[in-house]
Formats: sequence, C-alpha cells, structure tokens
Amino acid sequence: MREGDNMKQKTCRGRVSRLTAGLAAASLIFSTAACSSGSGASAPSGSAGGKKWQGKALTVCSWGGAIQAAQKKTIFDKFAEKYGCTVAEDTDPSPAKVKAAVQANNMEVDVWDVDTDFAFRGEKQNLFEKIDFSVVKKDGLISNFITDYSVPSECSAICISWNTDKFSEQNHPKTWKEFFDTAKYPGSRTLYSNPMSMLEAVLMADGVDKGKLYPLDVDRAFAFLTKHKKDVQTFWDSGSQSVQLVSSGDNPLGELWAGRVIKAKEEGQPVDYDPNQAIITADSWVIGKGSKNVEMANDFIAFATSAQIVADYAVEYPGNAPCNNNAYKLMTSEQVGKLASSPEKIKNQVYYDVKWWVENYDSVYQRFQDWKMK
Amino acid sequence: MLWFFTILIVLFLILPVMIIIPMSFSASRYLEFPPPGFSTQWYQAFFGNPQWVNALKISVELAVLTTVLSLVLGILAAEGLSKSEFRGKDTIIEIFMMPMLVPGIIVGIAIYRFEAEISLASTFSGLLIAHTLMAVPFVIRTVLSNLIGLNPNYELASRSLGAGRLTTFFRVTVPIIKPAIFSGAMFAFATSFDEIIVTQFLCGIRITTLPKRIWDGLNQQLDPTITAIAAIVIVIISLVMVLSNSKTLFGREPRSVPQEETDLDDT
Amino acid sequence: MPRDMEIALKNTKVAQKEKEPRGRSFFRPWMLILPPAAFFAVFFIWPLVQILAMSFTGPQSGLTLASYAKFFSSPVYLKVIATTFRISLVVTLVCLVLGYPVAYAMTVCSKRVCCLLTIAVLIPFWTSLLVRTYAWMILLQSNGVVNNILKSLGLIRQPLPLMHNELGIYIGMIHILLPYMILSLYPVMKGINRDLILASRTLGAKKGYTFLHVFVPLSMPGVSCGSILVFVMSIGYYITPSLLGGTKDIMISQAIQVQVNKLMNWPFASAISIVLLAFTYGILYLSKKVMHVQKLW
Repeated sequence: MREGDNMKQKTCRGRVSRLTAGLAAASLIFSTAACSSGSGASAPSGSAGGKKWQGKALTVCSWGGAIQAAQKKTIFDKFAEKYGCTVAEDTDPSPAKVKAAVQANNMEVDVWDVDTDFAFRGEKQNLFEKIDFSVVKKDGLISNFITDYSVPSECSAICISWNTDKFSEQNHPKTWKEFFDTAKYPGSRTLYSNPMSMLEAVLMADGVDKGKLYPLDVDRAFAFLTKHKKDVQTFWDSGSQSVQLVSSGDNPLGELWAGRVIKAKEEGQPVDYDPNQAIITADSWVIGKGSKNVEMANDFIAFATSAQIVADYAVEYPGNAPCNNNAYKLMTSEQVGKLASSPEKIKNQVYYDVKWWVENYDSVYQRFQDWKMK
Repeated sequence: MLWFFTILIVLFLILPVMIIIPMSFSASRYLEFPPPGFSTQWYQAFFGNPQWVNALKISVELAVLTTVLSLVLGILAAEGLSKSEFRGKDTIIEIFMMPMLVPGIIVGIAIYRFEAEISLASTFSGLLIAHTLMAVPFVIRTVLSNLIGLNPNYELASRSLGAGRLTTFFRVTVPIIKPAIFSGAMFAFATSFDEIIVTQFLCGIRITTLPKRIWDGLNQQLDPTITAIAAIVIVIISLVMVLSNSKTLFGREPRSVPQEETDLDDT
Repeated sequence: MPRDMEIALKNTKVAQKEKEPRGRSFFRPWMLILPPAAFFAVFFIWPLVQILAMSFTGPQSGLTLASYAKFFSSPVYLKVIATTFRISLVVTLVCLVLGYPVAYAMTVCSKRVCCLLTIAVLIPFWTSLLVRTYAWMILLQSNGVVNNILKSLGLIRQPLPLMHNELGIYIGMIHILLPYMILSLYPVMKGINRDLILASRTLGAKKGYTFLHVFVPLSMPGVSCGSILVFVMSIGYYITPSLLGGTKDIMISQAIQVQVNKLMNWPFASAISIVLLAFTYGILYLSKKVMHVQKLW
C-alpha cells in the first residue's frame, strides 16, 4: 500500500496545483470581466478644433422611442456638433435607476430627462447635482417647474383619446365627464397607472371646476373611480402599451399621452385625441449626483432649454409642448397649431400642481395601489 | 387519444414561439398578424444599432462565463454533498436550491442592494455573480441526483486500482455523469441568457443584456426589433437541437442500441 | 463485472475501512462544499439577511414593525396573497394535467418521436420569457390572431376577451411553466421499471388498471417535484401577469415591484418580500408533510 500512499500524495499536490490554477482562472475571469466593463464607449478623439468639449462624452438618459429620436435629431446631435463632444444615450430614466446609480456611487448618466414630480421628490433624497443658473437661463421657462436642481425639459399632455374605428372626430368624448359615460360611449377604458393626472381627470369628470382642482379632493376622486372601476379594463404602465391598447380596440377609450397618439396616428394607427381638458405635466432635466461632467451637463441643459432648440424640438415632436414660452415666437402659427398644448389651447387645459403632488405623491400613490388591488 | 392530446399540447407550446418568425419580417411597426408586408427592416434595425449588438454580445459572454462558473461551483457542491454525510446536510442542499425557489424580485433587490454597497452593481462581474447564483441550483440539481444514483463501486474500484481522487473523478465519475453535467450546463446557459428580473436591477448603461434591452423595448415602444433577434435565437436553438439529435431523428430507426453501461446512471 | 475489478472492489472496501479514518490526507469530501457555500453565504444569504433587517426599518432610525403592521392591517395585501395563491394553484394543476400525458407519451414512443417531442418542449423553454409574452400579446388581443381566426370561422362575432384578465395570465404562465413540469415528470417516468408494468399485465390486470394502479403511483415523485417547482415559480411571477393581466388580479411580486420602482419604499418592499418568502417556504414545508416529498431537486 506504500505505492498507493505515494499516489495519494502526488494527486494531493496535483489537486493543489489545479486548485490554484482554477483560482487563477477565476480571478482572470473577474479581471477580464472588469476590463470589459470598464472599456465602455470611449469618446473618439475627433479632429482638432477649439470647441469647448472637444473629445469629451456626455451621457443622457431619456424616454426612448420617438421622443428620444426627436431629441437626438434636434438636441443631442446639435449639442455635439456645437461643442465638439459626443452624446451617448441611454433609455428609461426611472426613479429606481437614478437611485440605484447614486447608491452604487456609479453615476454613468450625466443628464437625465425625468418626470418633474420625481425631479422634485429626488431632490429630497439627494439624488441630483445643483443646476448652475449662471449657465442655465431661467428666462421664458415655465417657472412652476423650476427648482434648484431641475429645469423643465418639455410639457406633456395627458388627454382623452379614442380608437377611430369605434369613434370619430364628431362622435367621441370631449370632456372627462363624457369619457366616463359608458351609456353614450360604450366600451372599456384604459387609464394611466399613475394617480397623478388621473385624479385630476376624474375630478373634472365628477364636476370639479378646472380652476378649483387643487388641493385635490382625493376621497372624492377615489369614490368616483370606485363607481366606474368596472368600466376600466386596464391600467397601462408604458406609453407603448397604452397606444397598443387603444389602437387594437381592446380598450377603445383611453387616458393617453398626446405625443404617443400623434405619433401613432402619423403611422396610420386608428387612434386620435382631443386636447380639451388635457392635464399638462412636465419632464425635467436633472444632473445625476456624482456625475463626472457636471460643467458639461450644465452647458447641455442650457443648450437644450434655449428657445430656438426648444422650438426645433417642438416642431419635430409636436406631441409635447415647449417648456420655454419664448419658443412660441420662433414657430409659425401652423406649427403651434399642431402642438398638443399651446398658449391658445391651455385655456381649456390644466397645468398639474407639482408642489401638491410632491407633498402627496407617496400617500396617494400607495392609496391608488391599494385601491387597484381591492 | 393520447396522441391527439399530446399533439395539441405540443402545438400549444410551439406555435406561439414560431409565430415570432413571420412577425420578424413584418412591414408594420405595430403588432399585426398576419404581417401586412414583407420587410427585413427589423433585422437591419437590430444589426444597425450598436446598442442591440452590444447587448447581444454581453449576453452571450455572460451566459458562457456563468455556465463555466456555475458548473465549477455546482459540481464541487454536488460531489461534496454526494460523498459525505453530516447533520444538516439537507438544510445545506435546501440553501443551495433557494435561488431557484425564492421569488426573483426578492433575489433582485437583495443582491442589488448588496452589490451597490460594494460597488459591484452595474458591472459585468456583478451580473456574473448574480447569474451564477441563479444557475448553480440547476447544476446541483441535475448533477447531484445523478451522483447519488451512481454506483459507488466504480469509483472505489478506480481508487483501489491506484488512481487518485482527482484522476478517478475526471476519468471515471465525469464520463459517467456527463449527461447530467451537460444538462446542468444547458440550464445554466438558458438561465443566464434569459434572466430579466434580477438582471434589470443590475444592468448599467454600459452593461446591458439582451433581455434587458428587450424589456426596455417592450416598455418604451412595442418595437418589432425584438422579434428579429428572437427569431434568430429560435432558429439557432432549433438547428442546434435538431443537428445534435440528427442521428436519432434522421438515422435509421434504432437498431435497439445495446444498453451499454447506461444502467449506471439510473436513479 | 470483470473478475479483477471485483477483487479490486473487495480490496478497496477493506482498504477504505482501514485507512480512511486516519488517512494522512487532510482532504475530506465535505470540503468541496466550502467554495460554493462561501459564495452563497456572501452573495445570497447575507443579502437576504439584509433585506430581513431592512424590513424592520422605517423613516426614523431604530427598529419598527410598521411595515409588517401596514401589510397585515390592510385587507388588500391579504387579498393579493390569496390571488397569488389561487393563480399559482390553477397554473400548477393545469400544467400537471397537460404535462402528464406529454411526458407519458415521451416514454412510450419511439426514440425518434421522443426526440422530436423533447425538442418541441425545449424550444419554448429556451425562448425568452419576454418574447413569448410578446407572442401571446399578438395572439390574444382583441384583433389578435386567435380572435381573427374564430371570427373568420364564424364562431364568434365580438372578439373574446382573452387577455387583460385572469385568463390571459393563465395562458401566458402555463405556456412558460409547462416545460418545467414536463421536464420534471419525464425522467421519473422514464426510470419506472417496465417489468413492473409487464408483471401487472401478465397477472391479468387491464391496461387502464395497470396504468392507474401501477404506473401513476410510481410516477408520483415526478408529480410532486414538478408541481412544487411550478407552484413556487409561479408565486414569484410578475412580468407575464403585468403584461397579460388586467386591473384586478395583481400578484404579490407586482406589488413589491411597485414599492421598489415607483414608491422607492424599500422597507415596505422588504417586508412584503419577507412575507412572500415565509409564504413560499410555508407551502414547501406543508407539501413536504402532506405529499411526503423527500426532496425538491
């Protein structure tokens, strides 16, 4: 059995060496992995030139789809051209993602295009860098939506929309009251799975004057919703889903973003919208806490909110409305007419009260969530 | 009757998947079936967009490394568990099975929080660790049940004939449990390649997997680009499976293959 | 078995008995478990413990049961648990009913057919869950494929509501989980000793009787293993239900997801997670007691 013992020792040694080899291999995996994760999109060191951010890269996270395509064309590419940098793009600027990046101390996105209410809420959670207002000009920007940490990027309209195979330009609900009138307009409804803007619509449907909405009577809104819950088949979560629900006829009536509807209509989908009684919410530019390009980010935001750029974007994507009132002066009346919201249309629309929502968002959203599950 | 039922169920399984292939050549950018016209635009959109291609690349790399790592860890665990008896062994096994059973969203938040703390979130290594965790149970599950059913005499014989533990393991055990290792590897690869719930927490802008892109696509815009890559994956999988079984499928009907030593791995 | 090998075996047994307890090797098989166990402890158990800890935190510092109180005081969440339970149960039963004959067919058919069936089961298994859900959306929406076919056949006038309701959830989830059931049933059925069937038949039992009284009982380990796997997996589902379901039937993972992504209320999300986890393991424990399941793997 001596030989066996020898064998054993040998294989023992063999095992050790293989083990270390295995460890080395494992650490190699990790290190190469780290490498491949580190070497992301490095900015091409472009042709020489005295532009301010020559060779730098800015990362912007926006909403994807048609919105971001329009932003790329009218904002990102123009900014890159002017400053000699590149603009890397990401999509889905969700609160969880911003918070994740801050917690991980790994802010890869410099500028985020977020919901304005989140811009307000995130400020409390210390998720953003302060805006440098010596660079970014407040002139013309809708003042309700400005904070120390954010400026509005655009306004969007939540509005009544319908499937054109089921309803028509003449025969469709024109007010939220009619929207919930199933006797007159049969079929199921889809609502945005977000109490913000929905409660406003509901209260208007219940007869509250648009000037007297705030502070919202939440109890009354939920009472009304409960009464009509059976007519609401779905609560949509994403813009793509909302258009699909209405255009497929699954839910011939919906509370949708005008921008999505306009885009889908252009592409031949059987959907349309009415700007009347639309609730105007906003998106905001913010700079992620820990961004390594804060100065460039401020330049970007200043650029993106300047009147001319805002006007160009609004022409490209008329589904939303400019956040900079000076932009209207730079547009033809025909171009303004296409917008979901304008100084003319706003008379029959309502700006949401972001301050009220910041105070009440969590509790109302929780309540909505609970109500939905009841 | 049995066959009628079986065919119906198989159609139920396979048709919804196959419908993706004609959809991927649709000329419409909305969900319409039958497609209103033929177009390769979604393939162009996929391969023309570095974000999609990059996501595909990362997903493949990740799945391969996950498979390797989870095989190493899974086989170690299975080998150790099958060869030893101790109190609490069942508990250990159950812990190893947990990632398969704990709802994905919980695993997602838990790992995400932890990795964020140690700066691993939104990195490739962070994803690799998470995917490996999700994949290891499948490897252990297949390999362990195979090892337990294994006739110990073969290993003992090998040892007594002078082979060391490692030699025995690689020359005797591994060949016998190869099918289990293979199926464990398949599960591991599939787990990683398809994982979305945990992944969505851990992806960063530079590190995004294919399912995460698809998920974003579904959310942002019901964009048929995803059908293009899905169709490619479906065709590849089908081809691989048909080819790897070509002998059985296209060869002459089995000449009742002698049972060889396959009795070894009956459980 | 060759003669020399038998001798070798005998020797080994003796040698083992003599040597192993005081072998010079410091190696013991259980040590192999250490690396994976360490990996799990660091990257899985510890994070889960942190989630547990977080569920006892609130906006203020210090420990609190507020999240749990909120959960259990609200009938809504108990209802969500009930919904989750109901959906998972139905999905499991249907998967079993659909999967059993397929797995059985796989064991009785020729090798070639069996191979084809395996491929048919594995292709959907390998296809992304998201893509399959997307496919079902194409099929089930009101102007979708299924409704159009039924309409053109003249079977219906108004499109049937196939999704945005519980039916949609069932169809989607069953499609995704059925392969797991089949893949759990098949190996057990394949392992059943055919001689037993033969014996029963030669002793005069009818085909149906043999199937029910010999084959089915012998396949029970696969049944319980597959059912538990499918059940537990469906408890955690949320992507398919949220895309194919309607407003009423919210599963518990969806509730957690909203807390995490929308409300950023992580303590509450953790508390729901812990309850869900306890619920899941409660079911596992019960099923072990009731169904005498030895192991889940």
